[in-house]
Amino acid sequence: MNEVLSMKNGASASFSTEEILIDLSSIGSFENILFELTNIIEQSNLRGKNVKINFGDLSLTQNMVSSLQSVLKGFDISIKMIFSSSIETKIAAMEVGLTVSGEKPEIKQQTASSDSTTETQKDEDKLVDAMNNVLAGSHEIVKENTLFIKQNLRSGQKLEHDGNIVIIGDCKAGSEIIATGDITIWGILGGIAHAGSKGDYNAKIRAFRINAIQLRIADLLARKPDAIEMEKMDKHNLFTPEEAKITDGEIVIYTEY
Amino acid sequence: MSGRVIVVTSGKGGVGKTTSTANIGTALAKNGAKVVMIDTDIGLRNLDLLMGLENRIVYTLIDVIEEKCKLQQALVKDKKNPNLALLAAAQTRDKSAASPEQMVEICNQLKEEFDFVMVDCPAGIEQGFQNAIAGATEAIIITTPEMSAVRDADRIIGLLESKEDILNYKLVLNRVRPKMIQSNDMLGVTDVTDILSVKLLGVIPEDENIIISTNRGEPIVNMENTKAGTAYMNIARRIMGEEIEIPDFETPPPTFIDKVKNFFLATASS
Repeated sequence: MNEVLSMKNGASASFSTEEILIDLSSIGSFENILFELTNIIEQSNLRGKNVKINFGDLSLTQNMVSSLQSVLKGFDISIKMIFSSSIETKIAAMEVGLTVSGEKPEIKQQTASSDSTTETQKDEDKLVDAMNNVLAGSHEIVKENTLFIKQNLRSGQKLEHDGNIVIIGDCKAGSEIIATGDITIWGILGGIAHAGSKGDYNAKIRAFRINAIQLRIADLLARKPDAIEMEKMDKHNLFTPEEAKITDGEIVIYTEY
Repeated sequence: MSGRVIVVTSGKGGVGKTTSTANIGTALAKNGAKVVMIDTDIGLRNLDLLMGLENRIVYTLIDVIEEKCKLQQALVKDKKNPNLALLAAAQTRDKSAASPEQMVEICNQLKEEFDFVMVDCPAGIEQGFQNAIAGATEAIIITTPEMSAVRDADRIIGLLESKEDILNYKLVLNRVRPKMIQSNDMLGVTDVTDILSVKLLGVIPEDENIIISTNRGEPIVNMENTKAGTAYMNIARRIMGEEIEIPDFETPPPTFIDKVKNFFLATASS
């Protein structure tokens, strides 16, 4: 069912009935990416389609991403989602309003067996670390890569990251933030936040005000109470920063640390 | 047992598709039917908000399609009525995430278990519309007494007629202001049914309580003594096969002089 178009330099485009994924993870520079993209577009009929693009670990600036977007627009192609492990690329893509994911897209032909074993090992190490932290009674913020974003996250925007997420801005109702580590918001949290998405019970969610539709930490879930009142968002109110964490198997919001 | 799959559609946006889906669905459930509502407005979902179920959604229609969960897991039960369930749309995706074939599959599964599957259709006639009507065998067309909404409804009826699976479609005229019709400032009920030449299922009068109900996340049929709530309850009973007359919004109510005249005519004739 999946049709794959492979290029010389390791770039590929796979087509299934639902989606088109262009894999550029093996391309090292922006110039080559432009070149490979135009090659792929010439060889396949992508006009009017939505595509997902995997940039691998390449760092792209906001200008680069938006120029890629306009080049594709010229061919009547729109970018549906971007996969990247580079923080710079993620931020750049977020700023031009694209959906970003840090997870590896599924491509049938890729056999990443060596990668996956090291990843599971890493996960195990993390688990051991986390357990040690629990035993020691303290939880330090995991010093892993942190995605730092300065903008409002609006309805329909979804941010996924392997690590911690820090957002300077509000997260509106209808937005979704998923992090394997902590989530910290310098603003009001109104959407859905999922911290410790790979099972870290020590993960925390912090915001100026937690007004989230749902809070999820690891596999636990808490929802906003069904208060029958109109949503009031008084911007002039003084906020007490809030932090949500797991206490006795439940997600609890604290206003004091 | 096989339930009925009814799509609620309009073409034009903002005429009350979602409000009508929520209220007709709730009203059917109140009359004892097992009802599930599907929001197919992927990326711009609202039905959950109107039902006050936003905070309960964990899995969506798209998670079911992508087999991230079972269909049963994605059904959100209503707060008040255990006969009523919601299958929400994903907010962080777009219409291309679902296909008509997948919608048919989901509708077929749901109608095994429920008496009514109410499908809330997005505005427009593009993929979202095609997805929404795919599994349906009946349609409710919502329109308002405005030329633009009536035109769009006509286009929708044309599209529905060309689809063989839709056996039955009826019209609901929403946001009717009787006084404006009586003073000839608004298209009347018969004007609209004449233009569209479809059967009328019900007429919903304009009602400020709708705004209150939307903001509270509580369908208006759950509120006591509202004009719109009563109209929606009647629509649900008509769908279930009862014969209930549609009230006349066109002739002005008798004035005092008329009443006196009628009184004398009645006494004279007797």
